[in-house]
Amino acid sequence: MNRKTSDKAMMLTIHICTWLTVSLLVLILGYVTFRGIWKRSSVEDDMIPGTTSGFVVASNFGKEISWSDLRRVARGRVSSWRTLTGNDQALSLFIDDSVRPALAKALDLKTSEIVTTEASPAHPRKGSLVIASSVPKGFHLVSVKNMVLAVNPAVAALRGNQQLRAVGREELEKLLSGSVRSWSEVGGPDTPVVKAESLDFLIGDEGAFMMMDAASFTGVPEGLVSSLKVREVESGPNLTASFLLEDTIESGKYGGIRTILLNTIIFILLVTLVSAPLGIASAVYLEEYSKRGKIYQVVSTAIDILNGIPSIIFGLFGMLVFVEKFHWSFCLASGTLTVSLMVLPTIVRTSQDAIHTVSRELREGSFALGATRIETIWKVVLPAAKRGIVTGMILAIGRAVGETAALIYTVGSGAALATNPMMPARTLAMHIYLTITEGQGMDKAFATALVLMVLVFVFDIAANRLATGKEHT
Amino acid sequence: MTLVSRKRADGGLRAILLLTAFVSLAAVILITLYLFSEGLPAFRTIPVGEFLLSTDWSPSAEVPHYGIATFVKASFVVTLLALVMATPFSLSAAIYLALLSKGWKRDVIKTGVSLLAGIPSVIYGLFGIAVIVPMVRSIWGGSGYSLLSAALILAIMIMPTIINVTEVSLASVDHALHEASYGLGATRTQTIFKVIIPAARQGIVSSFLLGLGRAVGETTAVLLVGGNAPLAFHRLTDMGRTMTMNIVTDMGYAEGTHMQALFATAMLLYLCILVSNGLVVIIARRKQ
Repeated sequence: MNRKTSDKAMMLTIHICTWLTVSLLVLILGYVTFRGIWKRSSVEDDMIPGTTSGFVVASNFGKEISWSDLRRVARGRVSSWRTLTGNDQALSLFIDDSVRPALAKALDLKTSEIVTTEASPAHPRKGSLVIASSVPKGFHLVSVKNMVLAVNPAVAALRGNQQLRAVGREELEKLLSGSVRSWSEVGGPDTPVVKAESLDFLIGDEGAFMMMDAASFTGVPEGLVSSLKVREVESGPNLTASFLLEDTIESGKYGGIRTILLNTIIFILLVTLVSAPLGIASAVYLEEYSKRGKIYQVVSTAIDILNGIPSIIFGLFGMLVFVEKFHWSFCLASGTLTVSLMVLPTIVRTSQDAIHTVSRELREGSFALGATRIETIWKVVLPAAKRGIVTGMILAIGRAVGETAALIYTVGSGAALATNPMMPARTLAMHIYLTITEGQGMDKAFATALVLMVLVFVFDIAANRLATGKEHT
Repeated sequence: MTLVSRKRADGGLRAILLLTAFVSLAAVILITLYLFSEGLPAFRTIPVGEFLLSTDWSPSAEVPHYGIATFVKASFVVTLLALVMATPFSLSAAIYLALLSKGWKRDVIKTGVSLLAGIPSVIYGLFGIAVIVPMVRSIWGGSGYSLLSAALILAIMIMPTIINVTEVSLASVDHALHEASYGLGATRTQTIFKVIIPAARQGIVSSFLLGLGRAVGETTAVLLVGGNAPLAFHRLTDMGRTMTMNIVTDMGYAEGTHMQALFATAMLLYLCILVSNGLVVIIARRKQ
């Protein structure tokens, strides 16, 4: 009786563990898909929109500008909207002379540091930015993010391994309305919240906070006050058609992934072009000519070793040989050759299996008809093994398209369309890696990841279909 | 074409095919040679003992030190932990696939495992940052970027390898053994654990060695979740840096001895994987 119970318990455990493994897959797929199609990231900003006194910013292009961007614009450092919004649009700046003192004060600049321009546009050109005392006709008001949530340094101090660095937009509203009593309610230390009316009070009280404009905040000596970022949750569709169809701008900060998608397709084609002939020819030699002798043993062992080498070592090798020794620098050609070597064992092995299963009778029939060995291989064996060989190639492509470690130091990070193999070109997988490491936002990483995952699964399913499907004749 | 020219074409193509077969061999030899010729000179300036045993990695210091003991330890800990965590799930799934299931349930699990194997490591890394790191942070505190997170991600990544190889070796156990065991009155559990698994143990060991090879060599996923701090770690929830993370992080700017030390690290990694894959081959030979 006891044995039966423990048997049942064990079987149950095995079933649970197995289905947990599969639910893990469902979880990963579901999560990546969900984040891929729906963005819900929180964006933290140093400053929030406030009012400006003595001048207004107006434009017929952008809707919002950060204080530091406006500062760069006013000093004449920005000539295109590209660095502000990602759009390739020339920026023409007009500053009315009458607002120069107020503008200088608000931006913490000397009046002389502000560039001189025409006072107002004669005819409103697209991409104009006007700083004047009122909004001119045909323009709309641009809000300036210039308010800082300043707090006493004690609020934002490191406590153990915790630190209050940002508050949500709603939490900020509550702070301002006075309905938050202690900082611990928003993740801070257990000190009472006090709304400061003056800078001195802010510096003096451990729980004080105050909304300050950017210019006065930067004027306070360092260390006397801290600031909290304000978090806003953005949600909406993530992977949109425009994300797929737009070019990549500023390494993925703006725009979509069109060029990267195209580069990935070029990369796949090049890898196939290099590794497929090599791999299939190797397999033909090993199966049809080597007679399982010494050469077969040696090459087989080499393929096994090659198959086990981690991709980072291929990356090192590619960097040393293609990038440095051949002076190709980081480019598509270096990356392609590195990854081709990496996937070679997959192609050789699957092609070998496919050739091996071609029946002896077919070969003998061909020989009996007077065909030479190579004619037999080309006209009889390879057509019969086609399915298995294509399966292997698809598996290899699936591996190549998801590769990152072998590409970091070989393929470069260029996001423009690679028109020749000597140009750097990131693939989708590299784009995800670079998006994460360069901090361009998880949303874009997930949207790209969804595209990559779909691509990989299409290859995977195609390979499975081919491998298990019925043989057509 | 005459018969003579056809025969000549045959011979010529044979030579070309032979050459292509040698590409893989040449690649292995070149990779090994480059790795060793770049890595070994490191030991002219760094004593081997210091390199392997010192925990001081400060390549940019005034007096640079190149000790990789911390990274070796981190690689070891992360891999071992991943194997331990993956074992119950992988073994269960393999037993289920090989012995207990058929029909649509088997297809679902089989497809699931194959899809799991196909997910690129950068996506595992992304998933790790978004889900596993916050989970570790909320349970154990700290930043969440830790060796534990790296081990969790690795455990998921190596499961398909272990499941597939174990399943094949469990399924290939002679059916007469199952029946003899049932005939003696053993339950399913007893048959599986006392008869089938011992009979398939060589294949199971191989599957774990292959999983180990994959875990030690994995770079991108652990890089994204492991924290990558080149400091000694005391707890699993501390940030850590494995050998592969060290190579990929410093590669971008290393020069001279520093670069050689990275190649020496890669050499060690290569040897580890060569040994574990060599064991797999030896086990397979003994079985034959």
